[in-house]
Amino acid sequence: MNAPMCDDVIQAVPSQEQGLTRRQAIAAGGGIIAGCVMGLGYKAGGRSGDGQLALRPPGALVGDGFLSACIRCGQCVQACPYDTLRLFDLTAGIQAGTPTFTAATNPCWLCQGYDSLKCIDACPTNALSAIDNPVDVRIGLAVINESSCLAYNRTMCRACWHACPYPNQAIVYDDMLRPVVNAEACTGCGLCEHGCPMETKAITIKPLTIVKTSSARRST
Amino acid sequence: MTRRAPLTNHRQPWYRKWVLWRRLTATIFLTLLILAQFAWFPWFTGTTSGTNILGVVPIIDPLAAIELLVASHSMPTTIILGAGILILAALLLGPIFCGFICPLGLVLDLNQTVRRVFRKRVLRKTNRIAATNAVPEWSRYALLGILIGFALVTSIPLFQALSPINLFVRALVMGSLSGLVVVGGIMVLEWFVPRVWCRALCPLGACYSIMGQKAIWRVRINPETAGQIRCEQCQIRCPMGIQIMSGYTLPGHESITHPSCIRCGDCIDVCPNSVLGLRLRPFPTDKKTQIDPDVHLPVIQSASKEDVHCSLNKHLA
Repeated sequence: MNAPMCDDVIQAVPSQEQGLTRRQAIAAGGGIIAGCVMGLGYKAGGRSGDGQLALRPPGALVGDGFLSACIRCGQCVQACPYDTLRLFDLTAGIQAGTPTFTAATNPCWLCQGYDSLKCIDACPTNALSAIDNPVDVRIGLAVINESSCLAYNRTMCRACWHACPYPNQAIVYDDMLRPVVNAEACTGCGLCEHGCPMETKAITIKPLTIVKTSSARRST
Repeated sequence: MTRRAPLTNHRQPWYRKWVLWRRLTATIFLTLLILAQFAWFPWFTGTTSGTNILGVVPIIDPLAAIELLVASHSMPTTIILGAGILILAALLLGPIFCGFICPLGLVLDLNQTVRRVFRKRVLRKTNRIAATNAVPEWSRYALLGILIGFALVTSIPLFQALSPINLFVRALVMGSLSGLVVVGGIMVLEWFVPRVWCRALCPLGACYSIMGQKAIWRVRINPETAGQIRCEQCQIRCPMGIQIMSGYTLPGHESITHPSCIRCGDCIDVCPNSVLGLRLRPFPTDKKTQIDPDVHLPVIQSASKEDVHCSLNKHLA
């Protein structure tokens, strides 16, 4: 069969949208309102505290401030010379793509042997703010579980003290030669947790937000 | 059916020029991102939301910058510089990120090619626009609005966390493989609704479409050849579902002004009459050869390229 010829004239086609139309503007505006409503619903669901449980890289804004300032680019992960950092994956929900680390398996080595903290250098936003001296890093606070710690159970153990980058400042001995964490100096790097010989670590890094609320609770 | 002789004045090369170009650039970009996870290649770090070239030039996704501004009310110089580069590129060249760089776009593009070949070879169906318009085109602008509204209230840049583009790149670069589930889901969905992500859902694409509206690098129409064959190949192929032939290449248009156009060049590659071209300046117009819209010309509504060639031969004979 031949192709249809001239009698088959193209139908008038509805004119194409030239540039951004009112419909798209309405869609965007309606979307903003819908997004606000969804956001309020999300807040009402009480899920806003999600970002406070993970250990973040040095210099990270505390709590949810980090979640809003981090654009999830992963440059801190690639900059880390010790391969400490990793990104949360999809299962972490809104935290997906934010950096974290597990102190027990690979702690933050505070860029020992380097002149600056590489993750902070790499961060394009203010999510990781500048820290001149690794002493000032406050990732979390080491907390000793006195019931499982060897030194508190009549066994000689100095593993955390040896692992600590600031021994006698961050971890000090009491008069019974048991380790005590000095909250003023502890960077929360997790080297002590990494060095702890116990299977379930007797010294663990707790995020600052948790430590603060629990100590406040205890004092009241 | 006998095989027809090929068209004599068919000036296209055997390969699809723009398809080749854009797959090449997207592959290079993705390869560089993947290589950056090795210590010996420190010059191209990051993912799609934020990249750093040579440790000096920051490249920041404009939507990430907008969400960051809305969510954390901060705008560091790096962000302004990095997003500025891309915004400037989009203002001049249009949404080229979508066509030429986006790694997810590359995957979905290949996915679509596989689908097309499968339908042609196995199901023996021609590729029609069919279900392309199942999801309205404006829904991506609505999604863009939702993301900004959400960031405004909750201070969370949701798209940076959950965007399939970022999830895909993170899966390849950082090894968080669970994101591939979302990408796989989109690929399956697109076998039923072709290119639905890029066309109707991607808020980043909407962002680039808004910025690239007045771009000078666009698909322009050659008035000397436009409207002669009316084979509809361009609009059948257009991944963004733009009615190229019925909306633009009939007389009266100089270029495709639809904001959705991602400069992928598919329409240019399939056009049997060299009507379209990605150009910075309009095609030179020569009044003498301009087509008279009243002249009756063959109208072909068949999707087969051979039919097009046949009728074009007849028309030229």
